[in-house]
Amino acid sequence: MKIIRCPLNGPRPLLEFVSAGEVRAVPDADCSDAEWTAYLYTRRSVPAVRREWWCHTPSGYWFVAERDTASDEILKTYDAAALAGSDT
Amino acid sequence: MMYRLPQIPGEWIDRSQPLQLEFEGDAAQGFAGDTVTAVLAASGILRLARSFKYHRPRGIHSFANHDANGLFEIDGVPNQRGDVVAARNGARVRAVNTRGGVARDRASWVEWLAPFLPVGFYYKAFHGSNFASWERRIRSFAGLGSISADAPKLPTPKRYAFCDVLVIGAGPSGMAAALTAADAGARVLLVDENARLGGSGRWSGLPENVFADQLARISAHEHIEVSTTTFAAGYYADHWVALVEPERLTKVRARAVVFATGVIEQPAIFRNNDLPGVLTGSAAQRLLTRFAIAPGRRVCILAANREGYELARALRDHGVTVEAVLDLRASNDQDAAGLAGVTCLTGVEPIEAIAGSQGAVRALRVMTPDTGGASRVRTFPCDAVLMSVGFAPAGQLLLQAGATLHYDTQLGQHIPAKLPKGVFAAGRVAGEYDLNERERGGRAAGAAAAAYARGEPMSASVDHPRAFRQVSHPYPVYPHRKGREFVDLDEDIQVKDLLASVQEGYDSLELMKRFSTLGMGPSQGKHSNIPGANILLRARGKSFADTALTTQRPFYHPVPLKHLAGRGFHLARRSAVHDRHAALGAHWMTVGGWQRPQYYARAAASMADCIAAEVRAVRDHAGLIDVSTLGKIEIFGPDAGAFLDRMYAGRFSDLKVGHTRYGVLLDEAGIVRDDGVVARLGDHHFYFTTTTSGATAVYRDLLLWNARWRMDCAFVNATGHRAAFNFAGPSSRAALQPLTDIDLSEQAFPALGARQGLVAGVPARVVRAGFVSSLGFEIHVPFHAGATVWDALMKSAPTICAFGVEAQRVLRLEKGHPIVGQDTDGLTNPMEAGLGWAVKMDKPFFIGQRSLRIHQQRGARQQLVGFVLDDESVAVAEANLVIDGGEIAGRITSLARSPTLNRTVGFALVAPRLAGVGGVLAIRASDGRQVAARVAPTPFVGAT
Amino acid sequence: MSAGAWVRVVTARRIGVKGPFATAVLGELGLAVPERANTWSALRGPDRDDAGDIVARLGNTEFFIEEQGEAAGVAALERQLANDIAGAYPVLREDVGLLIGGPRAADALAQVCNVDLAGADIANRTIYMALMIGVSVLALAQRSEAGVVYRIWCDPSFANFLLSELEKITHELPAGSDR
Repeated sequence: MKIIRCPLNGPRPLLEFVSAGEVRAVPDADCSDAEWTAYLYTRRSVPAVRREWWCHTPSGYWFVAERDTASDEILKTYDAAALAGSDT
Repeated sequence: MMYRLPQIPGEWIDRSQPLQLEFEGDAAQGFAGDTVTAVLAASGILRLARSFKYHRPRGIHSFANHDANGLFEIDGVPNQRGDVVAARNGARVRAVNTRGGVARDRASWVEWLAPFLPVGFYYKAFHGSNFASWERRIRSFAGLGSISADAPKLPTPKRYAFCDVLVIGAGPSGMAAALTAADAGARVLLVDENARLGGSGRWSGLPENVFADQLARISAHEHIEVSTTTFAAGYYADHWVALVEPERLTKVRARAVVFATGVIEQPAIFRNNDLPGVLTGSAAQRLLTRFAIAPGRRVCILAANREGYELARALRDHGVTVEAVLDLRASNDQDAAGLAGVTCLTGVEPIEAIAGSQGAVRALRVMTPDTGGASRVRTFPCDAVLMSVGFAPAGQLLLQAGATLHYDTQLGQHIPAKLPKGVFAAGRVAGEYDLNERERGGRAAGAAAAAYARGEPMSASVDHPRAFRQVSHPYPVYPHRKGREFVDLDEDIQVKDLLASVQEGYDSLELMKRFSTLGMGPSQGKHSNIPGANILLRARGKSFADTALTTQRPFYHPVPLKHLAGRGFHLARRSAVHDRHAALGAHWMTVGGWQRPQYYARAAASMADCIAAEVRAVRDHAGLIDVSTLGKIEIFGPDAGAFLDRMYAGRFSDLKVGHTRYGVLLDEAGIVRDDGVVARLGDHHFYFTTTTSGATAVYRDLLLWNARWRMDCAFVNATGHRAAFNFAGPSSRAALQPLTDIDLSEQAFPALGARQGLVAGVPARVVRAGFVSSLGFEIHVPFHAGATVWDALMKSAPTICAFGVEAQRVLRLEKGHPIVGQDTDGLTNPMEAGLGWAVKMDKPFFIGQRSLRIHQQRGARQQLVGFVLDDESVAVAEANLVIDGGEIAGRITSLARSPTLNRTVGFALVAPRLAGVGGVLAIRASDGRQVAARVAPTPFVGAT
Repeated sequence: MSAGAWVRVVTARRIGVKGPFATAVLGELGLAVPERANTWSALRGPDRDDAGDIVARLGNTEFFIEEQGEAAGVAALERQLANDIAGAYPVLREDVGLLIGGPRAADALAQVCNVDLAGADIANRTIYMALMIGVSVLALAQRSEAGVVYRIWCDPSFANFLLSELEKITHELPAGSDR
C-alpha cells in the first residue's frame, strides 16, 4: 500500500486518504455550454505531473499532492493555502 | 529407497522424541523436528502424490515447499504443504488427488487417454452447450483435495508491522545483510521460509558450526527481529510486504528491503523426469543436512555445475553409493570436488529414467560420447536421480517491486540489472554463489539498505562481481519421441505440449502460459517458467538475452484463505438507544453502516402488519423514530450563511435565527445528491442534517470546497455525537410539552421553527419536522443523554409507538416527500424531482447552478410524479417499468400500500408527457402483465 | 489467565473547541495550549508525561480536552463558549475513551491499525488521527507506572464495534512477548 506524506499528519498509508482528482479551476459562469461540459466531463489523462486534491480522512484535512501519473510517484504535498487563488 | 542416516551434526531433528504418522493406512516413523514429507521419506515412502492430470505417481521433487507433490490432507485439513509443515505425532495424512489412495489410485488409467488429451483440449472440446456438464465432470475428477463445509471458522489474526530494513531470506547473504544493517542502527526484520536460519549456506560441505558466531549475534542483537517459517508472499507499493506465517498474516512496512531470496533449482527435462526418486540436488541437500535422510542407497547425479559434485561428495561421505556423476557439459569438476574413484562422465545426454516397482526410478539411461565422435547408450542402475543442472532466481518479488532482471550468459541466470529506490539484492538471486561473495554482497546490501532507511540517497548502479562461473546449463532439455518429459509437474505439461502451443500460434510467454496452463498450478511455475520460456524461445530462434521475464502478480506462493480472511471485521454503527430498540423487538437492517430498526416485531403479526400498525399509530396518535443516523453538521463563523448559499441550491444567508429551511445539495452537473433541513441557531451558527448514507461524503465535500473558497467558517461533524429522534403525530405536541421548557404552541413554535431548550432535563435542539407527519418534532441531544430522552418520550403518553425505517418510508410517501437516491437517480435534477422550489437561480453562485441553466434550456427529461394504483389485483413492485407506445417511459421508484388511505400509492420517474395529473401510466408488472395507474397530486395524505 | 493486554473504558468529561481564537480562549481560562499541531499537553499544572487530564491540538486550530473528576476546566470552557465568541466555536465531543495497556498492548493495536503506534512518539507527545479497522480515532501513547499505555478516542456510535473487537483481540493475546 502506498504511503502518502500528509502535510499535517506525516506519512500515512493510502487507506487513510481519498482523492478528489486534479486541481482544476472552475470556469466562469459566463463560459459557453461547451466549455462547461468539457469542465464537467473531460479529464486530462496524459501521463504528467498533476496537482491533485487529497484528503486525510481521519482528520478531514484536504491538501494538494503533486503526483507523476506515469510513475505514480508523489513528488510533494502541501497545504491548500499554497494554491493562493490559482483555483476557485 | 530413502532412509535415515545416523546422527549428523546440525540436524534439525530431536532423536529423543520419536513420533509416528499414519499415511494412508501405513505407519511412518520420524522425530520431533521432522516435517511431514521428511517422516515419509525417512520411512522409505516414495510415492507421495498422484499428478493432477494423468495421476502418475509422484515423490519428493524440491523438498522446499516449491512443488505441488508434497500437498497433503492432514487430519482432515486439505492442501497442507508437507515439505514444511511440522509432523505431529498421530497425525493422519493422505494424498489429495487420488481415487482410493496413492498406492492404488483407480484414476491412474487416465494416463492411457493422454494421446486424446492434447494441450488446449479443454478450450477446443468444451465450448458450447455441453460445457456445463463437462465442466462438472472434470472438476469432480481433477481438483486438489476436498473442503469440509463443516470446518469451524478460525479467526486468524492479521497484523501490521514496521521496520527499517526487511531482509527476506536468511542464508549467508541475508544473515550478513541483517547484521550489517542492524549494526548501523537499523531496526531489522529477518524472515525465512525455513524453520531455521542458514539457508543453503552449509551445502558446499562447510562444517556445521560455520555460522555459529553469526547465529549467536543475530539472536542476541537488540535491533534484529527474526521470523522463521515465514514466507514473503507479495511486494506492494512503498515497501509493503505480505508475510505469511503458519497462523498469521503480517503486512510489514519497511523503509528498505534486502532480497536475499536465493534461487530455485531447476530440473533437467527428460523422459520420466517425474518419477519418484528423481529430485533436485538441493532437495537431496535439504534431506541430508536438515533431516539426516539419504535420498537413496545408490544414486546418479545429473550435473552441470560444481554444486552437483559437492552433493556427490557429501553423499559419499555419508555412505551413499554414488553410481555416477553424469555431466551435461563438456568438462567436469571432479578433481576440484575431490571425487577420485567416482565415475564421472562428461557430455552426457539423458534419455530416460526407468521405472521399477511402485513406479519409482530403478535406472537412468543416458547417451555418452564414445571414441571417434560416436555416442553410446549406457544404463546406470540407481534408486535416485539427483538433478543439479541449474538455477532460476527467486526474483518474483523483486520484479513486483519494479526491478528489472537481465540474463547473464556467463552465469546462465537472470540477475537484477536495475533496482528501484530502497530495494536491494544480495546472494545467489544476484548471481553471487561462492560463500565469501554471498557474505560480501549481503554486507554491502545491508549497509546500503540501512543508509537508505536513514534517508540517505541511493546510489544508482548495482555493483556485482563480474567473475561469474557458470552455474546453469543453457538448455537442459532432452525431448524424447515417446514424450513424458515433464516441464511442469503440477499440470503434467510435456515438451510437445509447449511446441504444440507455439504451432497453434500461442508463441509469446503470456499466451503460451494461458493456452498450455504452464505455471498455473500450485507451484506457480517455480520449476517450469524458466524451462518453458527456454523451450519457447529456442523454438522461435531466440534466447533469454532478448526477452524480459514476466512479472507474476502476488501471491508468489499460495496463501491459505483464512489468512486473507483474518478476523473478518464488520463495521457497524450503533445509535445511543440501540439496546432500547433491541428490547422492543427491533428487526435490524443496515443503512449507511448503521444498524437501524427496520420495524419492531409484534407477536403473531406479519412484517407488513407490524409496519401498518406503526404507520397507523403515527397517524392516529404519535410515534417515535430514532433518526440518529442522519448526518448532523454545524457551521460556525461570519461566512457560514454565505458558504451555505454557495454550497446548497437554496438561500440561507437570509434565514432568521430560530428558523429552518429545506436544503437540496447538487453536484456540479446539477444532479440532486443530498438533502436535509438547515436550522439557524445564531447569527454565525447553522446546524443542518444530511441523509444517513450521504453524511460522510457531504461533510468531506464541505471541507474540500472550503479548502478552495477559504471562507471564514468552521465545520463540525456531529453525526455520531448527537442522538436524534423524530416525535411525530397529532398528539406529539401534547405529549412532549410536559417534558420541555420550550413553548410548543403553534404561535410560539410554528412549522419551520427551531428552538433550543431542555427536553427531559437534557439540553436539546428541537426543530419542527414535517417529513412523516404534519406535526412533528425532531429532537437532537448529546449521545450520552439519548437513552434518557428516548425513555421519557416513550413514556410521555400511553399511546406512543416506536416506528422503524419501513413505516417511515410509508409515512413520508403518504406525505409526498421523495427520498434522494431512491426517488432520484444519478441523472435527476431538482426540477425533475419536483424540488425546483428549493432552488434559487437568482443567487450569484451555487454548486450546480451553471449546469441547471443548461438543464432548464433543454427541458426536463423525466418527471417525478405521484400515482395511485386503481387495480390492485396485479402485483406491482418498485423498479417496474412504465410503458408508453411500446417504449420504456419511466419506472416506479417508491411504492407502498397506504394503511391511511387503504390503497396503493407510489412515486414514478416518467417521461414529462405522462406527468399530467389524472393521466394514466401503463405499468408492466414483474409477471409481464400491464396494469394502469393514475397520476395523482401529492401529498396523498393531508393535514394529519 | 493473565492476558497480554487489556482494554477498559475511561469515564471523563470531554469538549472540543475550534477556530482561529480557540488558543486565546484556552489561554484566558488558564488551560494549556500545546504549541505544535498534533501534540498534547497536560491540561493544567505540571506538564507531566503521564498526565491524565489533557488538551490535544488537532491540526492548528482545533483542540480536544479530556478531564476526569470534577472537570472544572471543561465546565468553564463550556460556559465560555456558550457566549457565541467569534472565532472560537464549541465542538460537542461525546467520544468514548479507551485505555489499552499490558505488555502486549502494542501487539493488540498492530492488529487494528496501520500506523506504527508501537513506535509512537511519546517524547514529543504526538497525538495521532488515524484509522482503526475503519474507524477514525485519536490515539496517543503515554508512559505510566505499568509501562506504556495507549489512549484511544472514537465517535460513540463506533465504540461498541471498536471496543468489542479490541476486547476479543486482547483476550486472545497470551502474556509474554510476541515471539
